[in-house]
Amino acid sequence: MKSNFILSCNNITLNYGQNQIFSNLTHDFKSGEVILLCGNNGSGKSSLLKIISRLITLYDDHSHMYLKAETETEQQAINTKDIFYMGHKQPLKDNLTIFDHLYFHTKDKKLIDESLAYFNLYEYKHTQVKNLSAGQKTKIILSKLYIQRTIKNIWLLDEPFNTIDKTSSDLLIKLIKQAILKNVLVIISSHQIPKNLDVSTTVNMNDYISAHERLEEKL
Amino acid sequence: MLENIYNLSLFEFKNHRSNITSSIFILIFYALGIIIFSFAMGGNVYESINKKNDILNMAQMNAININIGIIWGITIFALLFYSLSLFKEDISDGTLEQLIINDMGLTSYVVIKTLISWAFNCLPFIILQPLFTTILNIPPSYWLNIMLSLVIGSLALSFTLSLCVSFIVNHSKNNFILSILFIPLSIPILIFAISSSENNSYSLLILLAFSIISIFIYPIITGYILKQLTNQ
Repeated sequence: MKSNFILSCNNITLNYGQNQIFSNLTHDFKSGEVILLCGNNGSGKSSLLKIISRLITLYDDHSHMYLKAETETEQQAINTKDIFYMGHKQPLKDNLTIFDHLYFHTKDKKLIDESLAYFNLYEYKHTQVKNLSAGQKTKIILSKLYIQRTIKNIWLLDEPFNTIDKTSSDLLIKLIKQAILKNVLVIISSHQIPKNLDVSTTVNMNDYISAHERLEEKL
Repeated sequence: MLENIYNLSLFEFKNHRSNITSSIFILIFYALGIIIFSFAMGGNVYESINKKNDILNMAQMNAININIGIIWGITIFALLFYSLSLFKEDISDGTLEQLIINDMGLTSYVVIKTLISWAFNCLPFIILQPLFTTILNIPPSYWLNIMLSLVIGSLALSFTLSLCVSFIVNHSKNNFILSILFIPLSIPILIFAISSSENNSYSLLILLAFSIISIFIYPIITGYILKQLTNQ
């Protein structure tokens, strides 16, 4: 779905065993917006991103999640191929180089060089991942985002600003700003959001903590 | 789809190549196992075969059968060794999550992962079988059958193991449970594998059937289990 679209979440409830993480989350996420998910630790920010990317399957009959064009009512299932997901885990192999990782996603060597140059990683192109810092590892994932920026129209970024420096953070924000102009939906889960990122909507996950949990919190 | 399979195969190949030391350790373990058993069995069989110009008597046949059993026993331990960490890294570092999101079927992932892992860890000691069988005093007339049955049998065992590993990958005492799960499942394959190593062509066909079933059915189940693991 390349035109304007809405990602609609209706009555999303998530339970881990006996524990209810959040309940009845209903929200429409519009393309071309930057959505910030905030909330306490354990409030389900990362889990919501996993639900959208279908890594967590919902078995609740009342929970629905679908895409629809802004002007139409027809509902479409979310195609995970359209999603770029950056989670807490970094899918990197210690003994492989940065180039090996990016070559898995594109055979266009020019584009790989461009992505590495964008995030100031070019000089480490043939360095093994085990010899890189945490921030540089995050930048490999962001370079992958740069490569796939034109083919993915939903970006799910879980704490993307955590380990990177100010320069890289600004470069990521620049990338996000370019993306929202092309109708990409960007959902960011973060505790710390840079001031120069214009957030369209903030979703506070604490609002969806079940009544029982809130009572326990008060006690 | 084909492009995805090629990309993943290339990535897995590079990943295994970069960890070549672990494959060398498996080969050293295998060689040491064979050498220890050859010392334990002694060199009498080889001498008596030479003296009687390759006419084997019953005792010699038994000794050869025992040595073929030893080869298969060590093969199983080598397989267990390298399979323990088959999917663990991909689950813990999020590679599996990314494959699911990019709509890369986990069945093809299991097939690629198991085959490349087999090629790096199993194939070297299969190729070196003439050397190992010589150490164990097995006559050259057995070499081809042993190698053929090892190729087919170890493939069947590798896919059986990948299924077992998917069951226990998140369990803390996985080494112990893997052995309990795998060894009973490997017995039928082992019976026909040893029999086909002893120049029995019917057993080789049954082993081939086992191998084909393992390659086509087990990855589907393994892929489904791995998908459920990421859902937690």
